[in-house]
Amino acid sequence: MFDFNKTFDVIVIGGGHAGCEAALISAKRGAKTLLITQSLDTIAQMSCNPSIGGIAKGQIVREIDALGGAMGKITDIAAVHYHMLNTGKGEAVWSPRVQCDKKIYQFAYKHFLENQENLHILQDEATQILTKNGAVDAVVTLRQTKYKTKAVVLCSGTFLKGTIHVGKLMLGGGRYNDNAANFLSASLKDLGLKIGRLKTGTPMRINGRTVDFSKFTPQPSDNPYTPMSVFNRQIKKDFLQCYIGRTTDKTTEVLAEHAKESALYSGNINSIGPRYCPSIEDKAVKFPQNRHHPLFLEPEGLHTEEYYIQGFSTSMPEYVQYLLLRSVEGLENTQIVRPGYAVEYDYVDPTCLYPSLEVKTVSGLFFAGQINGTTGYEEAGGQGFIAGLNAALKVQGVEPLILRRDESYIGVLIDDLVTKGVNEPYRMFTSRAEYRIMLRTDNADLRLTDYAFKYGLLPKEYAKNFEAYKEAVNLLQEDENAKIDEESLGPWSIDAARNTAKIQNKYKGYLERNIKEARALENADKIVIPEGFDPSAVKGILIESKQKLAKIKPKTLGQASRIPGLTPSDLQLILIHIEKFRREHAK
Amino acid sequence: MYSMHDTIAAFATSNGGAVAVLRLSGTLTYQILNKLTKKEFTPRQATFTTIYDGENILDKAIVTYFKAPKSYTGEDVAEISLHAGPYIKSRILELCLALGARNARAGEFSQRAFLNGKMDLVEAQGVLDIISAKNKAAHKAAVNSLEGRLSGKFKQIRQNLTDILAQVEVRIDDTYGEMQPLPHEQTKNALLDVAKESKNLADTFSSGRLVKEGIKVALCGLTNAGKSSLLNKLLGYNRAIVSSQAGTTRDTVEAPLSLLGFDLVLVDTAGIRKTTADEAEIEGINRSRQAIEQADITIFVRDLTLQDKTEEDKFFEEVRQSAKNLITVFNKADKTECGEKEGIIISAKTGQGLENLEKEIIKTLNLGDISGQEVIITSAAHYKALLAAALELESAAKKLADLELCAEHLRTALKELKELIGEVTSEDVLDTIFSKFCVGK
Repeated sequence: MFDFNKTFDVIVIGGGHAGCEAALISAKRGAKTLLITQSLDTIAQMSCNPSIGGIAKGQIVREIDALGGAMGKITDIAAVHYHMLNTGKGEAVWSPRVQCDKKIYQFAYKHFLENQENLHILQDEATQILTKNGAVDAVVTLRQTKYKTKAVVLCSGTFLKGTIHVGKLMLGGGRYNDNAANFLSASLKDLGLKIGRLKTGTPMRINGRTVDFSKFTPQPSDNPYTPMSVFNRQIKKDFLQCYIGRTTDKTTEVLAEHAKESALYSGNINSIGPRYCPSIEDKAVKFPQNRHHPLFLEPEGLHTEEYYIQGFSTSMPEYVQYLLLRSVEGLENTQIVRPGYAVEYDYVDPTCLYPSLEVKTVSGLFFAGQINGTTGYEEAGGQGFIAGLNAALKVQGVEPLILRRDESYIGVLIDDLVTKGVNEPYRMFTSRAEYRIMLRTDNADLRLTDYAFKYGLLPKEYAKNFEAYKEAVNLLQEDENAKIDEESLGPWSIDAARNTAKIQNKYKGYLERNIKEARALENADKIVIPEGFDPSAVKGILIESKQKLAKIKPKTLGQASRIPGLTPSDLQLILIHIEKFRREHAK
Repeated sequence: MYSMHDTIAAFATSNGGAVAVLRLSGTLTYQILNKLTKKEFTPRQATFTTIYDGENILDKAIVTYFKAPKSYTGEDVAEISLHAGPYIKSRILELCLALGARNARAGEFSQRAFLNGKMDLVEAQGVLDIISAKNKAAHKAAVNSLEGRLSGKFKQIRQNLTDILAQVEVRIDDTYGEMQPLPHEQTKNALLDVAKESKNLADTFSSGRLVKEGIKVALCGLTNAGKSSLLNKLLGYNRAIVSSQAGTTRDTVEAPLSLLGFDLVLVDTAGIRKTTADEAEIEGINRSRQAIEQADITIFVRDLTLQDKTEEDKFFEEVRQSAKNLITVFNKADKTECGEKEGIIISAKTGQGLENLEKEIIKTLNLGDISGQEVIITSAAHYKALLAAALELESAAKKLADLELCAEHLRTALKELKELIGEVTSEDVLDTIFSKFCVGK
C-alpha cells in the first residue's frame, strides 16, 4: 500500500450531485479537500432526467444558490429550456424547472471543481474508510493508496453494490455501463452501520430523428425566463422544446400481456422504489382504470438527438420496451438507443446521523444523497452542501450549520431523515413543509444568504448589496413606489425585490401566523441537549420514548419533540432534567 | 410541541370544598384578568371583584395579581378565588381559554418556577415525581380514548379531512398537469359539513348537563358486595384531589372524583339490605333505582364469594334494565378463584383491576351516549379546539381557488383537532395521495 504524502481535511467520496456540491463548498470554506470519483467523465452526471428543479425541488436549488452553492449556477450554464411550474397557483408554490444539456452540465461542473482552490480531484475508487479511536483517519482506494484525512463525506449514490435489472437480465453496476462500488459497503458494516437496499428506475432513451413530433404537443421554454441563480442574469439562449404525449389503450394491453416479464414482478427485485417515480408497469397494476398516462419527451442536449421519455420508466425486457414504444402515437418507428432499467443499491438508515449529517458513532464521517435513502439531484445537492460545509467546519472546530424547518426545505429534508428515517426513497414535496408559505422560491436568499456571508461562502463585497436588497424589500412592502437605488443591489435585482414585496404583502396574515408558530419551534430548538446528558435515561418517561431517544439521540428539545410518539410529559421531564443537569454542572 | 412561553391556566385547588382557586401564569395574564373583571390591578393586593362572562356576572371573586419576576413561577401570575360550583369552574376556565390561555399540564406551574430559578433542585424533585406519575396514566388514557373515538364520528372526521387535504395537496404538487381541477362545489360542501359537525360537537359542551352538574357514576350492588370499599379505593387512589361530603339524600354518599380530566360524582347507593322486612327492601330498591336513573354510568358490584346468587341476579336484572351505561365488576378477587367473567374482575381490597375499571369508565365517557344523545364533549380544551377548527374549515371553503391557502386552513384545522382525532402527518397525506392518484414522473 502506498501512503499519500499529504493529510487532507476532508475527503469526499463520489462525484455526483451530492459529492460535487460537498467538495466545492468544503474547499471554498478553506478545508484541504480531495474528491475521489470512479470516473472524471461522469462527474455530476444526470443519470435520470436531463432536468433540474421541479415542484419543491426547484426551491431546494434556489436555497443551495442562496447559501453560496453551485447547482443553480451550473444549471443556468447548461439550460436549454426554462419552465416555471405552478404559475396557475399561488406564488408560494411556484417552482422553477430547467431542462439542461447533460454534457454541458457535467463539464461545466467539472470545470468549476478544477478551478476551485484547495480542491484536488482524483479518479479512483474508495474501497475502505479507516478509523482510529472512533474517528475517521484515512480512505483506501482500489489502486491501494491510503489518503489520511480528518473527515470524510460519503456520497455513493446508487453505486454501493449496485445491481442493474432489465427484464430478467441482471448486471453489476451503479449506472448502466458504470461499475458498481463493491467494496465500501463491507467497510461501513465493519463500522457498525445498518445497511439496507433501495431501488430506483429510469426510462429508455430514444433517437429523436425517429420520432414523429407532429403527434406531440410541443412545450416551448419560458421566454423571458427567470435564471435559477440570483448571480446569473437572463442571457440569450438556444432553447430546445419538450413534447407532451400520452400512452394508449394499446400500451395498457402490452403491459398486461407482459407484466410478468418485468424485473419488478419476476421476483428479482425485493427492495422498495420511490412511489413518486413508479414504473409504467407499476402504474398499470395500481391504477388499471387510468389508461392514458402522460409522457414527456425531454431533449438530452444541444448536440445530440437523444430524448428521455418521462413517464416511461421501466425494467421490462428490451423487446417489450419496443412494444411499449410502438403503442404510442408518434413513436411507432422509434429507435431505442439505451434501454430503461431498474437499479438496486445499498443505503444506510439515516437515523444513524446527527442533523449535521455526521454519523453519530463515527466522528468525522458524513453522509449525503442516496446513501441516506433520498432520491433526486436536488435533494442530493442540498445534503451535499450541508455535509460538505459541516465536515469543513468540524475540522476547523466550528459548530455545524443546522437549518431549521421554518427557514428551508433543506432543513425539512434533513430533519425528516434523521428524526423519522425512511422506508422508501425520500423525495421532497411541498406538503412536507409546515411553513410552506414562508419557504418560497422568491425569498430563498432572504431566508438563507446571511449564512453564506457568515461562513464566507460568497464574496465579501456582496454583503453591502445584500443588506441594501433586504432593505429594498422592506421599503417596497410598505410602499410599492418607494425609491430604490438599483445600483446598490449588486447581483440582486430590483425586479426580484418588487416581486417578493408583492408576494409577502399578499400572504401577510398567513405569514404572520406561520412566523408565530415557527417562533415556538425555534425556542424549543434553542434548548440544546447538553453533551453528556442522555435524555433516554430520564426517569419517568415512557419506555417506548426511551427507545426512540436512545436511537435518534436528538440534539435539541425541538428535535426530540418531533420524534413520533414522544408525549408532552416526556418533553417536560427532559426539559427539567436539562436544567437540573445544567445547574449541577455549573457548580 | 407545547410552547413554554404561552399563558397557562389551571385550578390550584382540588375538587370539593367551597372555594376554587384558578391560577394563571404567562404574558397574557394581566390582559385576561382585565377582560374578566374590567378592572386594573396593583401587584400583590387581594381585590374583591366581579367576574364577568360577557355582560353577565359569573361570580364574585378575590383576585390577586403578581407581577414578574416576583411570583411563584417568575412570570406574571394571577390567582382567582371563586365559588366552587361545577358550572362556575368550567365556565371561567372556558373564558380564560377563549382569551388565549391554554390548559396547564400536570406540574407545569412548578416546572416554570424551576426553569425561572424560583425553585431549587430538591423542590424540583417533587415536580418530576408528579409529572412522571401522570405521564404513563395520561398517555394510556389518551391512547385509549383516541382508540375509542377513532371508531366513530371522529374517525369519519379524520378521514374526510385527510381526503380533502390530499385532494388539495395532490394538485399543488401536480407537475405534469395530470389532475382535473378541484371540484369546488363538492369540496366546499364537504368542508362545511365537517365544520358544522365540529360546531355541533362543541355545542354539546357548554349546554351539557354534565358540565353543570358533573358526571354521575352510581355504585350499586348488595350491601356486602364491597361498594363502599370500592368507593374508598377509587377515591383513595386519587386521594390528593378529593374530599367527600354527605349527599342530599339520606343513605347515599356523593363524592367528587377527578379522573384523568373528567369531573365525576361518585354516588354510593344505599343498595339492598338483606333483611326479611319487605318494606325496607322496597325502600332500598326504590332509592337505588332513583340513583341509577339519574346516573350517567352505573357500576354494578357483584360479589365473587357469594354462594347463592339468586338475589344478586334478580337485582342485576333490575339494574340492567334501568341503567344508561352499565359496567359490571366482580369484586373480592383476592378471596376466591374465578375464571372468565363478563365484566371487570377487581379486588376493592388490594386494588387489583382498578386500573381496568378506570379505563372502562373513561372509555364509556369518550364514546359518548352518556346522556342518551350522541357524543358529548367533556373537556374545555376539546370544546375550544372544535370551535377553532370549524372556523378554519369555513375559511378553507372560501379559499378553494387558492389551493395553498386552502391547505393552510385545513392544516390548521387538523392541528386544532389533533387531540380528538389523532395527528395527521404529512406522511398520512402522502399515503392517501399515492393510494388514490396515479401521479409522478
